[in-house]
Amino acid sequence: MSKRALMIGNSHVGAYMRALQQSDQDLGIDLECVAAHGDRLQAYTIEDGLFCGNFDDPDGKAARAGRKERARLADFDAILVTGMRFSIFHVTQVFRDLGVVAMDSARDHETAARNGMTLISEALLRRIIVDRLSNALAMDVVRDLRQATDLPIWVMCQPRPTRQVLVKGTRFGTFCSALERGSGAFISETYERLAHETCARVGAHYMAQPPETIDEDLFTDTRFMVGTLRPPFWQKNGRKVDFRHANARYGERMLTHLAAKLA
Amino acid sequence: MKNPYSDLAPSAFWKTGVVQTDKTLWPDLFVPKFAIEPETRVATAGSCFAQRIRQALADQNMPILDVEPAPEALQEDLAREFGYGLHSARYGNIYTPRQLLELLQDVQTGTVREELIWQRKGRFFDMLRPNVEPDGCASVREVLELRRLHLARLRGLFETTDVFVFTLGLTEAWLHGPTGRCLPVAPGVIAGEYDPGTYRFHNFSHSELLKDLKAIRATLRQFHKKIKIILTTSPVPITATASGDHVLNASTYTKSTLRSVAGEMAMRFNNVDYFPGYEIVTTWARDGMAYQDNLRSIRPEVVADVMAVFLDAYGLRDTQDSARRDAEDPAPAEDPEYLDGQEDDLVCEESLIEALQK
Repeated sequence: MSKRALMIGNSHVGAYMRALQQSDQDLGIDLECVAAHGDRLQAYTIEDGLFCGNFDDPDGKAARAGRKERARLADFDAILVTGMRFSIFHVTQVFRDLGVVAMDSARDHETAARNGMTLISEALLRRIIVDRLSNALAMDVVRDLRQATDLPIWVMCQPRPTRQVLVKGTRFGTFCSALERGSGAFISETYERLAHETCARVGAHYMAQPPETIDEDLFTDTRFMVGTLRPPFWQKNGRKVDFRHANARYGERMLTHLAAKLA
Repeated sequence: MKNPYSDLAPSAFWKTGVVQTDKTLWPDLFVPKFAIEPETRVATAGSCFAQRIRQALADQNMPILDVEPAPEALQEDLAREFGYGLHSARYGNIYTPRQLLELLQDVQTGTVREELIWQRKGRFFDMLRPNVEPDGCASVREVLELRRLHLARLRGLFETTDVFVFTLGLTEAWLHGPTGRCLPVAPGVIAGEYDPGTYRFHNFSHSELLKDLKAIRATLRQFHKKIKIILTTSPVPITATASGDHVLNASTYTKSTLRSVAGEMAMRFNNVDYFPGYEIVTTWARDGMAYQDNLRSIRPEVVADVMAVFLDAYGLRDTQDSARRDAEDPAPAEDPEYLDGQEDDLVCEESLIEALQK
């Protein structure tokens, strides 16, 4: 029998909703969704067991996409949270200027300086990253949910971007420098470990990005993003491209893993 | 009839200099030997009270040097916890002249020693500044590399500093036997474990302190020939003594000896000055208590008075701005919560000793 889950998030819920719509197989999970683009869910409230997104939907776009504005927590077996600034993007930024001796690119203070980084301790690095992740809107939602319900809460990993972030026009300098410095594996491992830790601190589980969807530590294999088109997107050769939102194939993998955990 | 005192200024007489004077502004109490201009590059170091001096200068937009600024990604509280923004580098509190002298020598020689590392629960701490990494380091290698970075940054600091403000805090210290190094905090307070065979207590004498301060002056001049030094004595009583004496006697010895040696340095050398912040706080002539209920922490309005005297002497105080701040900040000293909060404002290893009292 399928588990009923409430998914709360932003544009990153798309991968999961589409997975349920498009999958040929029974994923073992039924989803309802309260989601709003970007940070528009920040006015959310939880009162009397009712999660309310409190976002504007004047043209009914969210409703047409199957997204609800409110949901009763007791109607579900689990709650899933995704996106809302809980991502590797915010961790990669830290490594733009900072390094630790465990990274080859910062193995000593002179090497770190040559690579444009200041050497700090791993303990401080950990505190900075945990702070950043803890301050994500997703964690605010999780903390409040934890107060309101005993249901299992899963934070579903927002996918890494594709290699498109290395290309002029859609370039993210932090990812470029991480790749140039050979720090990808360290950043990836650090993110996964601290994401687990941050979620555990607030009584939630963290569902990591499946290894088979990851391309060289920092990126998502294009096969798990092709076909998505959610704002913000860029033009490439006259075509709109989206390199930050996963597709149904990714959503299916994640939901399959989740179903196994919930079973 | 003429005598040697007849033509002296009012400040030379107790009645006019103390009893009848303005006990907030303390006119002529501090007449600097040399100028600090708005563009003068000032560095600060010393005991907990040195943090106050740094903050007061920074509040006046003085170019206080900071060679190890907090990374951009760091929130202010976390930065302070990890020793950023407290002094002109992440050396933590430097309580004794010996500690500063040895640090300067390390900078000169680039010496980093593996023996000077404490452990606690599998974490590693730099014995010479254990408080700047409150969670400890992951490995010995990390401690050593962070220290190498620290020393490299300090070379740049001492080579560019025009005025070095050093606040003397303690005469009592713990020495690491195998290396002879002077530690900022007793073993076992932050990390490590007290072993009488490894560590020994030492209470510096006036002559030892004078010798160290002279060596500090000479070493600083090797980095920057024209460097000037301002010495101050922390008016904060000691938390505890290991001397065997009563803590009141021990504190009086500490503060009077430090005050004395600072005065002697200022008398001997043109490039050394003494700022009498200690006198402003501790004089019984002042109206109202200088100390909070624990008789150690200094009331914030008294700290503000001290720093106003310092800034006024150099013509650095933006009085309009201060008046505006005072108006916006209604009587903070009368708010008990505000007073309570002040203690946490400073990062002070010494106060940890009290916290660990049985």
